[in-house]
Parts: sequence; C-alpha cells; structure tokens
Amino acid sequence: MKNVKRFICLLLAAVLVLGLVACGGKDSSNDQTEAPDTQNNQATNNNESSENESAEKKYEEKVTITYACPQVVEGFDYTEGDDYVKWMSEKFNYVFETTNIPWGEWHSMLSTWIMAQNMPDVAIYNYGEGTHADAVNFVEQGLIKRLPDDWKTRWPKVAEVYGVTTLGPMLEELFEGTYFIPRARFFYNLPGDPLADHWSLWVRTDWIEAVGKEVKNHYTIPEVLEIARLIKEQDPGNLGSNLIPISMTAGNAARFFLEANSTHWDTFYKDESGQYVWGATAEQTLEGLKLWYQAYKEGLLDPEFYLLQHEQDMEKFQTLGIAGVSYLGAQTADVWNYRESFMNDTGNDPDAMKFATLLGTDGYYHQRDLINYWGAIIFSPDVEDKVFERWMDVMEFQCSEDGYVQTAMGLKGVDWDRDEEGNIVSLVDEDVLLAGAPGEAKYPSLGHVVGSVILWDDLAFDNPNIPEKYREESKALYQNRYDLSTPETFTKVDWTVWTHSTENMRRARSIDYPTEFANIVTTATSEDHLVELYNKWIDEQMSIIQPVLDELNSK
Amino acid sequence: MEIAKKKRNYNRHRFELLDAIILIILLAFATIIVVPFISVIGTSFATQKEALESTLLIIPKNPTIDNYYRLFQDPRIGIGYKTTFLILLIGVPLNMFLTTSLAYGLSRTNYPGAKFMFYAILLTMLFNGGIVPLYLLMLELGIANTLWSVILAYGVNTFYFIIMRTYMISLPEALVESAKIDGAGEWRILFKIILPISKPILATVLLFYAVDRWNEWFNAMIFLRRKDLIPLQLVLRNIVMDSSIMDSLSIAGPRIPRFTEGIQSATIMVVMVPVMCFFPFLQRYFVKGIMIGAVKA
Amino acid sequence: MMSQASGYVDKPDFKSRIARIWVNVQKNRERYILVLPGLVWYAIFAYIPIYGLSLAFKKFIAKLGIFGSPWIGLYNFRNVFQDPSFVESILTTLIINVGRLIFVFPFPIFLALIINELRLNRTKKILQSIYTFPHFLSWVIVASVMINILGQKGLVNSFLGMFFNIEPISFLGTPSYFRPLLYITDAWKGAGWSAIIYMASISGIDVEQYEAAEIDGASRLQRMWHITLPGIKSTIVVLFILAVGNLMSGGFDQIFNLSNPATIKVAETLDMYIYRITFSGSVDFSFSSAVALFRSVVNLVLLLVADRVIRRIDGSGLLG
Repeated sequence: MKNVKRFICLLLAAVLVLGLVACGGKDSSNDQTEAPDTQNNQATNNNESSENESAEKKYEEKVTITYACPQVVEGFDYTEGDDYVKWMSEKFNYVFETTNIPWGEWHSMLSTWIMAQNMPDVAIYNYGEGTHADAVNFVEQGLIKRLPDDWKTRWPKVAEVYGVTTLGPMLEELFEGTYFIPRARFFYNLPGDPLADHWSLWVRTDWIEAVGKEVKNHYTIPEVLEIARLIKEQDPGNLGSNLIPISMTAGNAARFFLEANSTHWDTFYKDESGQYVWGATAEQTLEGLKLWYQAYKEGLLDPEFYLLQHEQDMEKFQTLGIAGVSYLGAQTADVWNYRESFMNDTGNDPDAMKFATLLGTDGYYHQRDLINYWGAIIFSPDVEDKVFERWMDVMEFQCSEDGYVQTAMGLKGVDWDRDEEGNIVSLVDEDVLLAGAPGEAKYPSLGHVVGSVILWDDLAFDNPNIPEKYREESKALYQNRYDLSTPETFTKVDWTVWTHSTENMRRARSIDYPTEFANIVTTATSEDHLVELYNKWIDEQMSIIQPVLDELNSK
Repeated sequence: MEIAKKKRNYNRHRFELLDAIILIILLAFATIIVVPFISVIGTSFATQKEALESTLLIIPKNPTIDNYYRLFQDPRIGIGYKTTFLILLIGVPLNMFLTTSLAYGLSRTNYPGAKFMFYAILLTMLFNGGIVPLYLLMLELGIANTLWSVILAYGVNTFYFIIMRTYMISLPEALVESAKIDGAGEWRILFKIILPISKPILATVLLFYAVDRWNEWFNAMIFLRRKDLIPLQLVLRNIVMDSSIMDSLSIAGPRIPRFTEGIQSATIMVVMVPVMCFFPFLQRYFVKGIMIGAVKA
Repeated sequence: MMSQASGYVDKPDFKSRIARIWVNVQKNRERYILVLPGLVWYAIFAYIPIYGLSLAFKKFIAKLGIFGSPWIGLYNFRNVFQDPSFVESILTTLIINVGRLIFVFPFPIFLALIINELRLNRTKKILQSIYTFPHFLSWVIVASVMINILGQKGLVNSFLGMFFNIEPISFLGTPSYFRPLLYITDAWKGAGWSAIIYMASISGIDVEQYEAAEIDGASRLQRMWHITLPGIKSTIVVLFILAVGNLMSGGFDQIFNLSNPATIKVAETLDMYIYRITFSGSVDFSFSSAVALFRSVVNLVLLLVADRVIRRIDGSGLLG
C-alpha cells in the first residue's frame, strides 16, 4: 500500500512539475524574444497613425466594458495581455472584462443571465432560426438594448457591414428597431453575395485517377457513389478491410444525401400551388434517403457511421488516409491546414486531397440563400451610453479597411505593411501563428474575442499567409457555386417560416432530422421496408407538423 | 489493546476455497476496470495518429507528454486549482457541519416537529426550482459573482444526509441514554460520543462531498463572472472543448494539431491523481478495521 | 403527524396537549438548536428557489419576475402531453430504470459483501481503490472506450472473429443490445463508488456478533447471510426506496453518450427528450418547469408507494 501511495504521489508531483515547467518555459521565451522589437515598432506605428488621422477621436475617460462570448480564455488579460489588445485598449482607452461562455452551454448560460436581467454590457448571442422565439421574447420584454435610431449615421461603416447581412435588416424590420448585429463577414471582402456555404466534398484525387475517373471541381451525389463503388472494388490504396469509401457522421450524411438534394428537407416551404408543405415529405427527400440507404447497404458508407462524432469522419480521411470521400466545411483558412496535416500524417502528396462542390441528383448546387454568420452582437439594456458608444467605435474601426486588415494580419508596421503601390505585404515569418491559444500564438486575443464583427474565413481570402494557389482555388470554387445553381436551387430564405415562433413551431423544430433519418436507414432491411418506415415516420410526426402547416397556410 | 488482538485472531484464518473464489471474482472485476483505464492513460501519452490506428491502445510506442504540456501551459489551470482549493477549504467543512448536526438532530424523531422537518427536507430531494430562481436568489442576496454563491448553493446533500442519519439511527441507543444520564448536552453527545463511533460514515460522506466540490462547475459557470475565479472542472471543460472547436475556426498560419481525446485523457489524469492521493487516507475508515471495537468502549 | 393527532383529540384536551407539546419542546430545545443551521440552509437555498416551480402554471415574463408572471393554468401541461414523444419517453425512462433497479442496484451490495470477506488486507485496499477509479471517468470517455472495445473492428469482435469465426456484431448499433449495454457500463463505472456506502455500513457492525457466530460454528457464508446482510439492511432499504423515488430521472450523461441514431428509439428518456426540445434553441422555462414538476410528482408517488410496500414487508422504511 505504501508503495502504491508513494508511486501515486510521485506521479502527481511529476505531473505538477511538468505543468509548471511547461507554463514557465513557454511564457518567458515568448515574451522575451518578441516584446522589445514589437514595442519599438508599435511606438512608431502609433505616432504615424496619430499624425495621419489628426481628426481621430480622443478618449479622455477610461471605460470598463464587460463582455461575454465563447472562446474567451479565462486568465488571459484582454486589456493588456498581448501587443494587439494593448494597442486597441490604448487607442480606445478601455478596460476589457471578459467572461467565457462554454460552447455547449451558450444558450442556457446567456439566457439565464438575460432573464435575470444581469447580462454583461456586450455579449454574443447565438441567434438562429431555432432561437428566434427567444429573440422575440427578449425584444418584447425589453431585456436587450434597442440601438438608438440614428446609429447608422453615427457608425456608418458598421452600418455598411450590417446592411449586407440580410439577416440584420430583416430583423430590424420585424422588431421595428435594431437589436441584433449579426457577426457576418467583412464588407471589404465580398467574394460573392451571398457567400456560398462552406460544406464541401473532400476527395482523394489519386484514388479517383487510379480507378479511371475524372478529377473535377464538382460531382453529383450518384457520381460520388459511383466513384466510391469503384474505390471499394479496386481498393487503389491497398487497405483491405480498413478501407472506408465514404466516411461521414450521421449529421454529415444527412447533409450529403438530403440537404445537397433539397434545401428544405428539414423545414417548411411553399410548393407550386402556394401552399406550405413539409420538406420531409418532398420527393427529393425520399430520393436522397434511398441513395443513403443504398450507400449504407452496399458498404460504401462507413458501416458504423452513426457512431462517429464531431470530426471523426474527417480524421479517417485526413489523419489516417483510409477514406475516399468525406464531407466537411472547407473554409479558405483551412484548405491548406487540412492538406498540411494530411501530408504530415499520411505521407501523401498534399494535392492528393482536394475539395469539390457537391451537386444534387438534378446536377445543380443547392443552398439556402442566407448570409454566413456566427452569432449576433447584443447589448445590455442597462449599458451606459459611454460604454455602448465606445464599443461601437471599436467596431467602427474594425469595419474600416485598416481595421479589417489588422484583424486579419496583426499590427500595421509590425506584422504587415503596404508597399509603394498600396499592396499589403506580410512581415511575419511563415512559422509564426498570429491568432490562437495563449502560449502558442503571437496575439491570443486576436479574432474571436476582440475582432468580433467578422467571421474568420473572410479574412483568409486575401491572407498572404496562406499559399496563393489554395486561396485562388477556394475563391474559384465558391464563385463556381453560383454558376452551378439556379434561382430555384439557391433558395430564398422564407422569413415567414423563419420568424414563425408559435408553440407548435417550437415543437416542430425540435425534431432531430439527421438522427431520425439515420435511424430509418439503419433499421430498414430492404428498399421497400425503407419506404414503409419512412411513411410510418411521416405519419407519426403529423400530429406535430399539421398544426404548423395550418398556421402557416392561414397566414 | 485486547480488542485489537481479538480482531487479528478473527482475521487469521486458513486460506479456503471460498477465499480463492472471492479473490478470483474480485481480480476479474479489477481487470475489467484496469484494461480500459490503461487505454485512457495510454491515450494521454499518445499522438492522435497512434490513438486512431490502434483499436485499444495499451502502450504508445512513442510516448509524448504533449497533451499534458498543452494542458498545463494554459493560464487557466492555475486559477482553476486556486478556486477549487478555496471552494474545498471553506465548502467541505461547511457541508460536514450542516450535515452531521442535522443528521444527528433528526436521528430521533421523538420530539415535536421532527418528523415534519424530516419530510420537508426529503421533499427537496424530489422538487427543485432549477437554476434560474437560484441565480435570482444569489443576485438578491448580493453574493452572485462571489465564491460564496458557489459554496452556499451546495450546503446539504439530502442523499448524504439520509445516509448519515440512517447510520446514526442504527447506533445503539444505550450510548446516548447513558450519556444523558451523566448530564451531557446534545452538542457534547454529538462530538464526544456520536462522531467518534461514526467515523466510517463521516469518512464516506466527507469523501463524497469533497469529490462533489472537486467536480463542481455548473453553478460556478452561471454565478461567477470573474476571470480570477473559475473552478478547475470548468477550466478543464473549456480547454477540452476549445481544443476541438478552435481547430475548425483557426485562421491561417502553421496549424498546431490538437488531439482532443489525448487532452481529454490527460485531463482525467489531472483530475484523478489528487483524489487518488487523498483516497487511501479516508479508506482506512470504511474498509472494515480498527473502528469496530470502539462501539463497545 | 400533528394534524392527524388533532383530529381525534377532544377539544378540552387540546389545550393540555399544546401545553404538553410545549413542555416537550422545552425539553428538546437543544435539538432544535442542533438542527437550526441545516434547516436555515434548506429554507433559504432549497425552499425559496422551489417557488420557481410555479412557473409550470405561468407564462414566464422576465421583467415581471417569477412572482409577477401571469398565471395560465394548465396550458403548459396540455402542451407537454400533446407531444407523443413525451409520453413515449416516460415509458422508455421507466423501462430503463426498472431494469437498472433489478440488474445494477444489487451489484454494489454484492461487491461490498465479497470485498469484506477478502482476508488479504492489503490486496483488499488496493482492489477497492481500483474499483473507484471509473467513477472519475466522464461518460464521454467511457463511451469512446466502449466504441474501441465493442465496435465492429474492436477488441470483442476481433476476438469473436478469430476464435469462433463470427461476423462482426454491431453491439452499439443494435437496439436490443442497448439496455444491457447501459446496465453493464453503469455497474462497471459506479459499483465501486456505491460500494463505499455499504462498506461504511458494514464497518459499523459490531464485531462481537461475528465472534459469537463463529463460536456457534456458523460458516462464513452463513455469517455473511445472517450477520453482514442484516447489518446493512437499513442502508439497503433506504437506498432502494430512494432509487425507486428516482425512477423518472437520471442517467442522462450515460444515455446521451452511449446512444446513437441507430439506437435512439429505445434511448429517448425523459431527460433526452427535454434535451432535444431545448437544444433546438429556445429555452422555455415554463415548459421545462412543467416537465420538472410532473417528474417530481411521479417520483414522489413512487417513493411513497415503495416506502409503504417495504414497510409492510419489513417493518421499517425511509419515512420511519
């Protein structure tokens, strides 16, 4: 017993010492090497900007801004923790007090605070179609701030970004005032309007070539299945029983087989007769479901696809190199990252991994015409005017061109600069991580927390830190999606459905479509049985669905 | 002294067939526990690729401390230990005081109102108002955003109270009666007579409270909004979750691969090791042993 | 208790009864002081928040507070019961938890009994520490370990394939294997921890009883059956009644992590249902209060019934 105890205590001690050494070592080395030189540069940079923009506002009074959003690292000082925030908090003369919202508790935590009328000055609310009912509640009860009517003239650049989010103006009209500023992409960088969805097919080009198929920028669902079938037969990677032709989680499979075929598979839409119908009953949904079943029965799809979680499907593709096809977001920021780790982990040529656009069985690209956004900025109804104004000024700066580039690339004069022709030149070494976790990145504060009016990916399009080849590929692919769609397949958001927030609708929204359909697929024993199960399921749901349809159609 | 000797006599027996059967069953169960456990420990020292490739990881070929390194370089870990330590230091004694006094006070229900009080307490086990009213109460009391809100929100665990009370009921009544005849007051009886012979249950409940406090995160998440007060479990939760989420939102630059499962496993070790150190000290009270004789004394 | 008493006591006696109670109170005043701190805690931190349950009959409007929110009668309940998956989830919960009571509940008792019989003191302590380990694993981890072991390429299937030439069995994706999986993992994870309570209880048994029995020539199994088991009976009874009073809740983390789309139809318990309803976004405190209240009332009824039944059989119960 004594020995065991001693061993355990030794282990504990080792772990602790390890931890301390790790903390200490990393921190000091980072600070010491970078601090002096950044400070010098920053000083000159500050002088420059104040000379150039003499009209710039001076903030006499220091304000304290409380702020809550996901991805805050507690213990990191977002006022002075790195040079980037130091620059910001000096420029705008504020103290930034941040609270983290744990990812899984985003809604419950923030709602509890809002309901208790004790929310921070500024917060990021996870607004979406599902949470709309709550948004209505908050607005009706005055639990969040209504922006002053003249805000668009006072902060014109924020208004510009806000104007192209579609969602913002729509909500403004609905609530007769601005309450939510969607965190959308940045105004100075619009590759297309709207931004096409990130969901993309990932394929192994070496295998596709080996089985004698063409490497393309887009495939229809049946084409993908055909390739998977050939890969399964010929096994070009010599993987034997380890080979997974199509690696997808249940959620991604639903996206792949159903959403790519029809954007209203999990919602309500108006059919040709102008009546509202339920998307699950649409012909394309059953068609996609049959393909899903086929892929599952033939062993093209991972036989235990329903056990995979998060990004485990992609891990098999990228880290293990045993999958032929996967389906995942292809943010421009990631198209190089993914390939880099693919190369490192599997030893393959990075270009053996490629992303492509998935088309429906009709040969068109399907997507709902909605701005890509991530949460909405809200203010406390009790926020002091000076605090509100200060934060709006911060956002106004971030919406300016310099602010945008700065959020993407760090401090001007330190991390980037303009050459004589005005082009942006990166001054950062290739192996420096700008934003990320404390201890790893140069500016841990950058991005999610301080640069909060933007989506990450939009910064990547023009980011010289990503090889140009992949940026161009990404741009072309997203642009291509407009050419591959028709107005019918690039469906307009039906705001009537979106904003319908009755009890019945709330219950209808609680149906977990990917899980339900995956359950049908795994339970079915034949295609006829599949149809039978599908019809039975539809019938069962009707007690929930019919009231919603009645409500929508009587509107 | 005499008692101790007797006990030893009871324990010194031949090794019979029954002993063999028992040992085999117990060892089998221990194996079933240890094998997956080794996989957790192994994963905490492994790289992502290795973890994905092996079906049940036993010993990584190229052990790495990367997962621990990543965990400990996070500035939050220090805050987490500090906060949890404070919660334990103030919280557990409070738990023990409230629970023991209540359990002893209600171990006899032969006085007016005692049964009513017991039922009223029992009811809270089945009915609770949820987090919102509790948070509103903390705001009302002005202790939201202080450690007191987290400490006071968990005062008595009704389940532990019942276990302790059940144990105290089973103690021989004669002990208390004789003390009463000697003129001892209730508090005196509690501290001088009841507590010394209740060590097994005190150790158990202490362990349970300590582990609950150690695992505390939900209330703290809602109640506390200060970056210098975050319990360890919430910190670990955030680190583990972040490590999977940050990836998909990372911006350009050299990507630092994160191995969520590895960090998760390292987290388990960090959580468990202190408890494992603490456990043997309490264990001797509830593994049948020295205490038994005291009942007679 | 008191109301019962006043029912059959004649009026003239009432005053004297009050006086008697008062004398009794005076006599026991130290006990009241003893329970006071605990009761104050319950009054403030348990009873004040319970008024939040009134939201089940109200439409929650944050600005008006919980007290001020308007009453809407049984509207929330009607809403809850209209959903067929709610009723289904209640059945699922009961089936899963009754099984738990039958298959999982006795396991820690058994474990404690045989640990107690082990005579190698050092081994005993080490083994007992090992049994508590899994308590500290979260269900997320247990689930991922289970996938490693029970998956189609996992340890068990490789073993079956190698020695018996059996095709891979989908242990995790077959609905009929789901409940056994829950019980086994539950026992695996929690038995060692739960056994601590029984071990503590066993430690309280007077050692003289064993000595007397040994002198009488009782075998070890007999002693186990006639001394140890009765010695911890009160603990078993209490824990059993509490478990019955918990039949409508519990196990969310486990089920959430071990279930998957293939087994969801047998896995949607009340907790899972609530999660699904609230996960989609809007947090309706009135709705969740209604479900919580319903659940509490059912649990209360179950607890009372269990207590009655046990008391009839055994003479002692929780509400003794």
